[in-house]
Amino acid sequence: MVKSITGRKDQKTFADSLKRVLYKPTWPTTIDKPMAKEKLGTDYDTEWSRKKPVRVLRAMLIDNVVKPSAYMLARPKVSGAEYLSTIDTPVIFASNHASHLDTSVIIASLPLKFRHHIAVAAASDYFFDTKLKAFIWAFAFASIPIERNKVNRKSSDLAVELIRDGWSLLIFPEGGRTPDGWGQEFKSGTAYLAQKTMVPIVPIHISGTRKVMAKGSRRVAPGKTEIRFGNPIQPIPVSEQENESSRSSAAAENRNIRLLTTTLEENVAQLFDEANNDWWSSLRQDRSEQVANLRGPEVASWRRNWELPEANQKKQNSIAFDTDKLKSLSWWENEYAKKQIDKITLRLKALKRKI
Amino acid sequence: MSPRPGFVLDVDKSTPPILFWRGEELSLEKLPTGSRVIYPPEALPAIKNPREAIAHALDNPIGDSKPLSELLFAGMKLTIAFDDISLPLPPMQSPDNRQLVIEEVLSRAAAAGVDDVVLIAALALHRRMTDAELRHALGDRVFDSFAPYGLLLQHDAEDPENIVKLGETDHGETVDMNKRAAESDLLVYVNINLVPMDGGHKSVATGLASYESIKFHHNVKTMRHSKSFMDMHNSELHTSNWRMGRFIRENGPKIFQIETTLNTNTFPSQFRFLERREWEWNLADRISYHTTALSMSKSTIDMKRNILHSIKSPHAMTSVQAGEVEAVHELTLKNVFKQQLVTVEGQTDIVTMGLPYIGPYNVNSIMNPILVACLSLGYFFNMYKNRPVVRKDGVAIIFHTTDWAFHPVHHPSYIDFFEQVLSETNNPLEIEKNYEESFARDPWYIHLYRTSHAYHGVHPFYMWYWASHAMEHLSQVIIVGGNPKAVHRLGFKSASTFNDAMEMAEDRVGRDPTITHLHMPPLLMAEVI
Repeated sequence: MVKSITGRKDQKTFADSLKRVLYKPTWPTTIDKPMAKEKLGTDYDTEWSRKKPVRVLRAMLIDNVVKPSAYMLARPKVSGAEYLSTIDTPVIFASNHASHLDTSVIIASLPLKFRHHIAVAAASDYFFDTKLKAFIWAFAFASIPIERNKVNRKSSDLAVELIRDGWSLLIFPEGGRTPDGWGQEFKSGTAYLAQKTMVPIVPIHISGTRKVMAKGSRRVAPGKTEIRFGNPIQPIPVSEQENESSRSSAAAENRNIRLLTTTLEENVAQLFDEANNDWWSSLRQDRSEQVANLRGPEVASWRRNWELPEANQKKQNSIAFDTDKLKSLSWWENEYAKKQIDKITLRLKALKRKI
Repeated sequence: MSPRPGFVLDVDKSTPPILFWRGEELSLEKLPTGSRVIYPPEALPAIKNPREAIAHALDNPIGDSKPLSELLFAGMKLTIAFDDISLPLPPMQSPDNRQLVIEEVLSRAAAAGVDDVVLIAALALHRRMTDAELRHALGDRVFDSFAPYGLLLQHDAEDPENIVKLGETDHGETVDMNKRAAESDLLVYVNINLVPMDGGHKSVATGLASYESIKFHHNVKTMRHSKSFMDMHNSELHTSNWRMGRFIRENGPKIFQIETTLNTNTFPSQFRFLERREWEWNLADRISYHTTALSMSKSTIDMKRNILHSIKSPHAMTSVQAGEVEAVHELTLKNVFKQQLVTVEGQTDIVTMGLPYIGPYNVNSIMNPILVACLSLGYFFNMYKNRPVVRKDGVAIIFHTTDWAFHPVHHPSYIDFFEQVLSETNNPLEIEKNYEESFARDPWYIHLYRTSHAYHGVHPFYMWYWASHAMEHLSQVIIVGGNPKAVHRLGFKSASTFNDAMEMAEDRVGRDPTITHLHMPPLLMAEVI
């Protein structure tokens, strides 16, 4: 029995003892509290986001919110999606990257069988740096953290495991959004995963999202976008001969990864060419030239900007009539066209006067 | 579980009512005990990776042919011809077989540095396809690469400047051909084989020919000697086409034939009851049937056509073979029969058939009375090997609404054929003798065929000839639920119910006839032993 300062006897009950056992002791204010270690970045555990109830919620979110808003904002014109119906394995979707909107627009354009069973590889330093951001991205797109510039063992193991579990993956092999609208060199992570799991890579070229929401811009301007899915690219298996010795097997695998990365970039570049010309002429173009076209000219930044296809489109739009086309028309078609031009010019003049 | 083969059901008391198509509508009919129902085999599994299979076929051709890549060289003239809108039925979901095959062919052509490439829809005397139909068949890539530059053509059998006469066969048959195809270093033909009649030498010898050429095998005599025209070894139609094909092989361009076959996965999952056996219908199937049948019966005819013609079939590729025409077609036929053949013991007195809303010549169009006759007595009746399902002088009972309705753009000559020719006579020989020439040479029909989307002036005649073998074989044709006036014009009998039709058939086949129902679509081919 302890006598208190006030002289009252301190009666310790059983409930008091239990409280002390159950409750954490309070931290003295005079002593600094150590920061709690939060598992973020590549350490963030995303397993919860692949549980069934979360997947159902995500499917509802994607179909009812993400898809309608992506279609409203970006109005994607999708071509080549029919090729996906012939694939019955998980795949790795690899696309060029121009805007944060790319993920939503691509996922919204996928056929049902892929749309609800896809994980997005997201840069760990950007999307998984705070708890809230990590939660949002993992919940909304089943994102998994990956390192931008190197193949991180933990994240690559997770990606491999997911593919083997039947998940498809969306990766942006450039490692980040384009700073100026032109393509960037492809990193080898995508090919590495495909080579490891032997699943095909589906190349994607997306254009127009940069105009809707560019890097660094907070403004969202609704516009048109175009998504082209290419034919699946099969990884190259290491031959049995090479497989016999571990050294040559590793060398062969590295060679195949390099080859696959190049093929992937060439395929995306071909899709880019196809978007600007047509498929048949893109087939006959030189591949390395197409890649160079995707990456843009190696000149001063203003000239790179000047050469952008989007900028060219603007320039073309500002020219009202294609005079070359007029030359190829027959005389009466020419007469008709001229009359139409006159009519439009008159109307434009009247409009200007009003203004 | 592997797909079950087709079979013949003996109807007993406990057999549920059987599904009948009635054009744009459906009904369940109780068949008398002792009747038989022929069910098609279930859909064969599709090729897992069609693109790989196509590539393999192109690199490993059959018959006397080199791999495609070896036939392609820079500076050559390459023409790719392909089947038109009449195949497959209903049009298949994207990607169409033609798209997949043509993309593979073009990839190889690009790799070989071929620049001069033209694509031609092998229309024969069919209507020109619309841009949307071409885009659907070939895919965006191919369409956008060729159509804007005028390199995607549709065969014009009436263009004297673009038809060349290669010569005559030893039977005196004129062999005409599309000029571009004839002058090419290589002609690649891309086919979809839905029924055994398609493909082989018929692809080029008919698809890229002119009326002058086609009339040698599309006539009453040939059709009556084709028993049936779905069985090429007993078909005069094919014998003539094969003569022409062999003549082209000797005197025409080098042909690389690519043929594909489809499984019988004909309707999308919401209509899967159409492919299931009635006693296996679960709750979802029953709900689906009743809602479909009810909504179809309550809709206007335009609504019904719009809904049904928007159906895209989930057909999938079951095989692809490429190389020399005859070797390729032999293998194709094996694959088609593997999917469609059902063995049937003995003939029947009465054959019943429910006609669907679609046939080869009314895709995105109207099935007019002449096409009803062609689909039932031409196509369905002829889906046999050895001998017809129905005995000589038997009766055919057909379920279809047979509206007096024609598509004015697609079938202008059909309207006049129905009004002017069938009002005078139904006899195919008489019709051929007295009217064919004037319709075939009519400048207005030729103009519409060449510039609009109309079938050739002679096409309704061919539809009638198509049915001539059945008309000769049967003693009576009864249409249940059809427009009596239209049915009468066709020369058939009209009945309002199945029981009425049975009573009407009594004086031809007696009071206790045997009945066999063809449960189509999905398609089946009866091998009657």
